[in-house]
Amino acid sequence: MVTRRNFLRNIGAGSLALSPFMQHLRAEAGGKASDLPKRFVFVVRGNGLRPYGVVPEGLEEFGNDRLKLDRVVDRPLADLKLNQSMQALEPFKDQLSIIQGLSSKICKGPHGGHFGVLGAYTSGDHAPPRKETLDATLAKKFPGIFPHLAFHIGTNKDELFRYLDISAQGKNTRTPAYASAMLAYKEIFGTVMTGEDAKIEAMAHQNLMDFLVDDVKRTKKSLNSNEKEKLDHYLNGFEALRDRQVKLNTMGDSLAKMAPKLDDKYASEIETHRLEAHFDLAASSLITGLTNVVTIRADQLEVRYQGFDHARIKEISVHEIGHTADVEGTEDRFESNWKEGREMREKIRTYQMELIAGLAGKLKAVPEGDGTMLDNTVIVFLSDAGSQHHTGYENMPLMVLGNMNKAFKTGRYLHFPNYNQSGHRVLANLLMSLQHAAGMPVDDYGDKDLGLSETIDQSGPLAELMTS
Amino acid sequence: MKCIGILVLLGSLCLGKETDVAEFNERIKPFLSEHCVRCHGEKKQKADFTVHDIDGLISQGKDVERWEKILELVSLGDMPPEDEDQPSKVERSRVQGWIATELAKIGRGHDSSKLALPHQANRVDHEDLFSGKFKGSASSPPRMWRKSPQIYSRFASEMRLKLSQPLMGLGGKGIQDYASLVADESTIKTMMRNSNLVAEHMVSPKRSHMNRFLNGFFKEGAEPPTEEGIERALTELFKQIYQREPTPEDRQRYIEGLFEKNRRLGGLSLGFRSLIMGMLMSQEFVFRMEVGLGGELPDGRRMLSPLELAYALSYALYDKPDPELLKAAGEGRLKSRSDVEREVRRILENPDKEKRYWHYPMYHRWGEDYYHFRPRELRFFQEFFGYPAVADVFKDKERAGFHHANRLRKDADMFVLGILEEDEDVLAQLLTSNRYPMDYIKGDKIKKLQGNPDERHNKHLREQYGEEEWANILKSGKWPGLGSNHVEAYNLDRDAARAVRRGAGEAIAFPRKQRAGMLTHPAWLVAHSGNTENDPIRRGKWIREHLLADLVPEVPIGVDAKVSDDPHRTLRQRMDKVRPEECWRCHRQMNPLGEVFEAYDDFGRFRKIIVLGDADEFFKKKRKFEHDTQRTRDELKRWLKLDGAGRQVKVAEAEAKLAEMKKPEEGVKNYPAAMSRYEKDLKRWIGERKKWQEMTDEQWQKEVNRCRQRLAELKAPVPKSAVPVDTSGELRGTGNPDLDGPVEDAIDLVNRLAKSERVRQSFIRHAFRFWMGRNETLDDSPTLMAADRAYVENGGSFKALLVSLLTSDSFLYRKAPNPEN
Repeated sequence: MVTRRNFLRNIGAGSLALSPFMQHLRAEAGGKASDLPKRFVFVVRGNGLRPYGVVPEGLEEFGNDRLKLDRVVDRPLADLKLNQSMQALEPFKDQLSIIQGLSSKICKGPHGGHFGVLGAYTSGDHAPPRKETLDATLAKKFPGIFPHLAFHIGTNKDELFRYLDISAQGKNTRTPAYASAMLAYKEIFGTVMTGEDAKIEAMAHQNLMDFLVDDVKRTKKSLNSNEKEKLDHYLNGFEALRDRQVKLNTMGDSLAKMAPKLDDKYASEIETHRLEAHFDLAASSLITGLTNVVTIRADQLEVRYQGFDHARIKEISVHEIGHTADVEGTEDRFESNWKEGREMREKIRTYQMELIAGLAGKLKAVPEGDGTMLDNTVIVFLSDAGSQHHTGYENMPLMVLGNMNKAFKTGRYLHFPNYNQSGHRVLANLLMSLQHAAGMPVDDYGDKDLGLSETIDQSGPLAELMTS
Repeated sequence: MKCIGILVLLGSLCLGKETDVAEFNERIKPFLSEHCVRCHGEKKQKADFTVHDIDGLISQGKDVERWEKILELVSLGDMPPEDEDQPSKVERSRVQGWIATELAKIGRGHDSSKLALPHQANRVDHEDLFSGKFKGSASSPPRMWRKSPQIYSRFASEMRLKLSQPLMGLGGKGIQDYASLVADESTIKTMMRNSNLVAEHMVSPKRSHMNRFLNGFFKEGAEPPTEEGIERALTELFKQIYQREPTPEDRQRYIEGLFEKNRRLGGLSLGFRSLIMGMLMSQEFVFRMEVGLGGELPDGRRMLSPLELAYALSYALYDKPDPELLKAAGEGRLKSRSDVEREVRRILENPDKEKRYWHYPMYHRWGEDYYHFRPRELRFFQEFFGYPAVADVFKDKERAGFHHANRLRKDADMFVLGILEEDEDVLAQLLTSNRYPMDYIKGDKIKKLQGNPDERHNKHLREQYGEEEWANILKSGKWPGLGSNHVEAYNLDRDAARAVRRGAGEAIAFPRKQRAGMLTHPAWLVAHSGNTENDPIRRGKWIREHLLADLVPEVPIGVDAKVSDDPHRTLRQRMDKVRPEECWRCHRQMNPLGEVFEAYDDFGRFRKIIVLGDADEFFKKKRKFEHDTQRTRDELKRWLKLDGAGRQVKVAEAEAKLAEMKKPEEGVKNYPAAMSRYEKDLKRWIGERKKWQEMTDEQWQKEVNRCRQRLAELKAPVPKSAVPVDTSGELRGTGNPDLDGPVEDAIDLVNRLAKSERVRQSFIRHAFRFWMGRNETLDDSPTLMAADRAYVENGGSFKALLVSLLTSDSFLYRKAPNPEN
């Protein structure tokens, strides 16, 4: 691991003094863990996260997706071998929790619970969000220059950004996410771009802003004070955007050192390349302190993976992959056998796990406080469709990486009892756990699942996960 | 030097801020002694509030909270209590004025942005507004009215791009689009992203209906455009985005100030992209500018210019500029009041020929607006009554599987539209009509059936209804039955719903004792209810503020506004928490109005008894009983038809089917699927044939008996404990002694309301706010009175009311408000 000293030397401390990047180093000097920033990364995939793909080897439920449980299974991961597709996470085993058995039946929709997954409320297909989701709440609590960064895998290289279907800033306001890694790079690390094109873009943007400010000022002259005030709001909006630009400019060098390397994958036609770029951008933004909350839509049903070395995956969309058989001994309507369906899922899942491991690795390489940045970060990985393509939300398998300054007990495999069995918990309980870890002790979050009997506790964090 | 300056400044500030103690001693103190001290003095301290020891030194920060309270109560007319001697209006306003001025000196008192909200407009005295004493010179301030979310959506849908909504309304249930709304940073961020998307789309070489005048420039091997080409493109962009042609000044600003600059930097595509983004974020795109660029009157008021008028009228009635209005403005036919009147009448008299609202999708799942061809009228009624909030009130499906918020909302939309179409006594009809249109039925369905009886789907329906019923349908042109179980909210069970027979869009008359107008419509009732029970307080407040032009003070801080949820007492009984005098003073204005709606449960169902204890359990059992009875009855009916002869028919039918069937030949399209269908059908019909051939009369009799016995066994559940509903209430504040007084029930209440002049005028005040985008002032008195007259003289025509409002001084003129007022 790099020491703090040579890390600083590496990135060049010239203009660091002004940057948010200094926050965690400063906190280290003061020695107060509470001053350390808290970071949250949500990685959400489509198509469900199959339990057989996350259960560690050596457990009785390994290979048994329909196990009925009436008690909590809590096993240390240290004794177990991680699932084949999670091998990349082996170095982070002590920071990892694999959780199964949480339900989220308040979610509706055959292919995913939409905003309901991170917001714990009912949200149907194509319906606008009813309220903000947890990632947005956290982003407001721990704002960076970019309070909430979001990425979406996108369907082609020309797609610039997309409004997410799983994250919302408030009622009717979906979180915008970069689909184009290039656009994201320009907006986040644009100030360090040295190429001619980047300079031109920046100047053109400046011209546009000048034009708009002038446009507003022109009108202002002919109005009385009340109405002037209204235009001032509008003008201030432009100024705030310019302000952000100024802040970014002052970070010049540190941004330049930490910015991801701009290469071909930023404008690649291939989804997996873009996804890699998204994870790189996320890592750099977190490390530089530009943001503390990132949401990544790692895939969605209409996406077609062309980057995999697998004939079938290249041909069909994620949705169609979801319809292939993957249960032993079955066939699907494409008349292919389950092995192929499982193989395709394995490939995609393994790839996503590798990306997450890469991000965790980068955070772990940066010292912070007594430990590393990973110690003050939580990465949550789940599917908005729970455990399968057409989901009933009875089980939302997920993975939590990072212990958020020892708020979570990690290095464990947790399996909660089945739906409506005593001891069963819901996904909202996990969301509350995250809020507790964030220093927002919320014990009542989202809609209640009224199908659950009253003995099932839908309030408060997951006691099994929290250290205190 | 500097110090002296500061001292002088401080001194003068203090001087300006000093309390006007002379006025306090001369007028205010005597006022308090006369009207307040008896109950709020040394001897009695009602509500723990005293004024005998208050002095006038507000500017020194003394007793600020107490003064604010006094200001609120005196200005709302809540104090002194009704049964005490009342101060004159002049006295009242003088006291109010002094307190407000003094509080303002230290930055306290009324919050001006709050006072600009629509429901606060009721602070303006109603009698004064309609007294005729105020001849006002009405005008609105020159203003930038931020566009509504709907205008933006309209634009996005025309671009056929998915854009996020950057503009939000006021929120809550009432009027949403108000001129006091602002656009800020979050608006800009979203707009920036949206305009980026639009710009990319426009400069794409792929041709679409939106970029056909631009895409040529970006095709491979295209020649660089000429100067004229660029001018033309700008003109087209202006037409598309601003619905007008650019002026020479615009050309200079947009082409030289933006396009050329960025084109020089990064080429044609960047130039156009910036140009388009600039247009989509400009103030012209975000705001409606109504400055008053027309002719000036001697009193300083300026009329809106023809172009401003064209936009103002367009947005008054549509969500996008009306080309006809812009044309009229361009041709000089939109200059005077009579021009405006002519154009408004032209638009309003243009009928909805297609009546598409009867046909909008039955199951619009997310409550998207049905898009009326003239959307703003319907939207006014939606926002006035607040019934679209029906979709926001969460109701547990476990309690009532039949509840379907969006269908109720659509029913209410149709109720309003039906009445607007008649345009007679609109408000009274809305308040008292017992004829509700319901559910979806396509008008052309029967025609289709008549024209094409052998079509697969039609044949199925014909079989379903049977020949006799079928003949009836064709003869009457009316359709039997209502399709959705949401009709249970109207107390229609499935049998009753099936018995209803009606034509396309025809409303259904409900018992007059059960339903009258919007306030007893399930959509309104649910929209103004809680998750598990009625909300008499908010319903009462709604009536007070929307129909009686009154304002109810906010819940005092520190009041625990929670009603116990003891299931063994009725809601009215549990409301006794608000009967003590200190609560009742305000609650008297709401509860007696809201509690009459106890005749409906929180799903809008009419009821005569209130079930106590575990009511949910009872209703579950009741529903199960109804469901089982219905099913068994249906089953019995089916069996009765299947006597010996009936079974022969079934056998013959199966044989006919079997004879018809052909085995698919190998090599036909989708052979495996066709084959599996064939095999399935074969199995089914052979099974059917066998089943009916083999059934004996005894077996048949057994089935019939089984159904009969089951029917006899089913017993309707009886609630363990129930009380008759108490629907009594009291109406006060109509200003008409014939109408004020105790009321029997909701029907009685709404019928009285419909007769009240004050209710009508209150409705007109709301229409004023909706169309002017601001709160009324005393200067608007002539506008309101003229609108009221127009409405009455034209037999309650809403169109007449609209013409009057849109040709009023308040709408046409602009003048900066005098800062001293």
